[in-house]
Amino acid sequence: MAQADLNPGLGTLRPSAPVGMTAWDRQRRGLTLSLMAVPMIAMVVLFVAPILVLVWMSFGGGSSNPPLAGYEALLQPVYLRLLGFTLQLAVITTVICAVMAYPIAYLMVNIPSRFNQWMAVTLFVALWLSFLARTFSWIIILQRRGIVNNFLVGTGLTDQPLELVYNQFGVYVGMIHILLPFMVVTLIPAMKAIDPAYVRAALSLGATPAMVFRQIYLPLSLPGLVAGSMLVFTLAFGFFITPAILGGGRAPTIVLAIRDQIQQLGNLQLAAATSMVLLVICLALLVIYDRIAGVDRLYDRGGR
Amino acid sequence: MELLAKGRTLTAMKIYGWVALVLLALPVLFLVPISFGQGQAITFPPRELSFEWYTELVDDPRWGRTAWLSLQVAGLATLLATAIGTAAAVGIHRIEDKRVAKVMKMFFIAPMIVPLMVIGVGLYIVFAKMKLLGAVWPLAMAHAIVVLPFVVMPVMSRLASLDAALERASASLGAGQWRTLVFVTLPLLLPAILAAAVFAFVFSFDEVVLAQLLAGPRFETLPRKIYESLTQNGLDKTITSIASIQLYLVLGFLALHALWQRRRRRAAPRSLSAAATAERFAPDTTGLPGTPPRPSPSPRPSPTGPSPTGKMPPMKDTISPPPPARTETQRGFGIQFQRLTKFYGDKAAVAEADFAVQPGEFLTILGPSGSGKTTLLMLIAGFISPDAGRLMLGERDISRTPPHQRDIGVVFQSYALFPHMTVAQNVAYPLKARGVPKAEQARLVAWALDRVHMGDFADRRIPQLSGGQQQRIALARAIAFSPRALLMDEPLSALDRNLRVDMQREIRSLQRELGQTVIFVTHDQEEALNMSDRVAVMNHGRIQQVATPKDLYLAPANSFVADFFGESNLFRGTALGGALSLGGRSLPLPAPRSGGAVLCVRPEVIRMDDPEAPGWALTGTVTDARFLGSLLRIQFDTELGPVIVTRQTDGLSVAPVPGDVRRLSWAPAMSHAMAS
Repeated sequence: MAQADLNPGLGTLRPSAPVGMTAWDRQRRGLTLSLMAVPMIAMVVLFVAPILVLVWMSFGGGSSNPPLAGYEALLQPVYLRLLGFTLQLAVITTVICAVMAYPIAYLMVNIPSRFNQWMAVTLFVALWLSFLARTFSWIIILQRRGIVNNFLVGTGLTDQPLELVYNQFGVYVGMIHILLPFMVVTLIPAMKAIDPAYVRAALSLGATPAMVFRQIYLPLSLPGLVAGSMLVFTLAFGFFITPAILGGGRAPTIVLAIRDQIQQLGNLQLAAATSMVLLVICLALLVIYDRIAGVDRLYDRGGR
Repeated sequence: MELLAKGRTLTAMKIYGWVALVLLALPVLFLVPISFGQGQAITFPPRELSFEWYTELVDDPRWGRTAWLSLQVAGLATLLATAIGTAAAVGIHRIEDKRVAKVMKMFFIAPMIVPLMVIGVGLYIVFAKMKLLGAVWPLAMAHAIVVLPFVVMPVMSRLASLDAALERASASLGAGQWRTLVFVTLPLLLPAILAAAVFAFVFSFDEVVLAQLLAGPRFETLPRKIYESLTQNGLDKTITSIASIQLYLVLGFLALHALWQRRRRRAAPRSLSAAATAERFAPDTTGLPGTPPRPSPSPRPSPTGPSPTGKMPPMKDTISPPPPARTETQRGFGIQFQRLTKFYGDKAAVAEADFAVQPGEFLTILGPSGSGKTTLLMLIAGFISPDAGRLMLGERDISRTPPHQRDIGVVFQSYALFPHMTVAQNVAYPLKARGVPKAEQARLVAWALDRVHMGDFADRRIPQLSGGQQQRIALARAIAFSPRALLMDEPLSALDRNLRVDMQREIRSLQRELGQTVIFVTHDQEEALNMSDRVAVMNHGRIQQVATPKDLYLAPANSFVADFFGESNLFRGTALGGALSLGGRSLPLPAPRSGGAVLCVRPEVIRMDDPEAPGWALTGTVTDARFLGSLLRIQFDTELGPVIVTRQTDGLSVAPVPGDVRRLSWAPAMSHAMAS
């Protein structure tokens, strides 16, 4: 279709400047680059460089040790057990957090009631309050002469105080308590993003509420669940305070082992090699996560 | 949404919710009563109350020392993390290449994924070599880098939720990149930045792993001391009082926040009702205060001289566009599109747009969604640059000029009023960006607000205004700096019908009063008819026709225009001399032509059962007759397919019923033939 007032005489007209970057594009790019400069330098100096040093150190770091000594030492069953326990701790914590957090987030997003405000305050306090303080409070509650045992013995439910802390049980309790709020606050924006019209549409089409939940709501909230699990898993995997304090030496994780390798054995090469194993696992997780959900999801949590 | 969980399920969930709440809250709350207990024993509830564990904190100088050290580290770390994280978030958000942006997102999330201990060991080796262990700066930097993702993520998510039009608005009002960042973007990010800063502070103030690795033996931060006393000295009761103090601080912060929110909420309804009253008395703009529209009988002066594109569409109508009035304050410039083209990939979003807008003309770009009209507008405003062709504003080639130097006022579909500024600050924004003196700014703001009858609203906040009022402010802001032309991107689409019609009148009269050149984008043909001197119809990236509303209706250039601009009956066939042959029949043409042709007959010119019906008249059976207010719309089935006829509902004619048969004809001169 011909244009209304096309003028054939304009055939010779050329753009006044070469096609490419305009002044606007240049200014845009200039600001973007100057904004990114300092963060990039900081990341390279404080994050990438130490990790590269770690790689170098794990292969001997210029010392007379054989380059693979550190990695060979890691093949000892004790380290494999440590790694296994750490993974188990992280997985179980993540699963329990997901199961516990989902109904809480669902209530907060979908059911208007007074519960929401109270839960919001509790989550806020839990997120903003020191990990140390919260870990400490669990010692008070769970120790031999703590609140729970006093209650159990006092009411005659048990003859002797139960071993509730300074073991794996105590570590699980403390980890779940600390990481649960992270899962909830990641789930909430994901659930808020689900248009209620989908649920109404599915119900009006004759699906039972259980079907609607399974086939519509759950799949739509899955990205939030995956993002939250990613967050909780990585935090749990590298967690230090709670296993160290509530474990009482009976819940040794790989992170605690690194600390001991440095502070007690003074073996930097072994510590570096162990760190490399952790690093590889975590970065692999990041890539897998990106394949499943897309890393953008983590940036789309509605802010905190 | 409470649909999925009902009855017992819901009750069970609620009970679980409260239990979970207690489990989350109680452990923390136990600390408070215990901290007031007397003596070393940790008992709950405490037998005797005392403040000894709080006074202990003050009496023992070691606690104060470690706390002060931690405060220094945390303060510094917060500052670094917030500044770097915000810069990174804004920077990543601005990266246009999607792959680069994604790599950056992965990169800046890595410190969160990698365990603290791993980064800690690496930094320990580096810092030990550089003799940086046991100092405030290095530890603060380490904390900052570790907490960086927790700053970048919320700030970026807030950025994503901001209207992209706000930054464009800022640029169109004359602000450069940095000014936009400082005065528009950062203030809007403030809530997210503050939240991130609090998180960074709490994190650093509570961090043990890096503090253990990177601090020397005589460099003890508070969390490290707590950790040590927890693992080595057994249970030190001072920890309960320290944790309690932290809790008080958090709760205090929360209470302040709640109080602030409540005050803000209480302020809102009052202003809303005020807004509603203002809405009611606002419209009717025919008698504007200020400079009355000056009728100018002389042909309008054109600063561009005769347009090089030459051929204006022939104006065969007698109602030529009313000559725009001029005032001293503003004067529109002419705009020429010279084969302006923009590609997205292989597809031309705008293909060889080639026409001229006269100075002071009101031109509407009309087209269905996806026709490229928004791209054309973005090209004029300068947010994208053309791949070929030129764009002239007056005598200046602005094809490659940055938007903030174009001096074109833009009214955005979402208004893009800066929510953190008052009405007056919004209107003054373009003046500030141009360095206009303060007194002059105040005068021009008052002038612009008067033009849109919003003089009394100068100190209002944007969220307190209704949609119609926001629309007016957006208009005032766009005219405040006497732009060379005004662009409006479907500015009325969010308003309800009555308000929209009022605003159409108001915008039109303001445009005439100012003599402003306006390019108005819409998909609403009625709006285009109501407001425009001329209309440019666009489809598939091409300008189909530029003409007055009357010409568009009576002499559409092609079948798209005929169909899009009002309803029409189109007959496709082969023209030979004065007749169009199709389907074994022959219809008269208004003028002789040859080749493939489309005959356009408007529904209202078709006569039913005309006593002087010519031989070629069609026989139609009524399939549907509908009452449309002022019109009766009758659909016929004829030998040449469906034909639509409309009649005025004047009470004279009797509405046919389905099944009735009518002879249909028209005066050939009232039809219009065009190339197929």
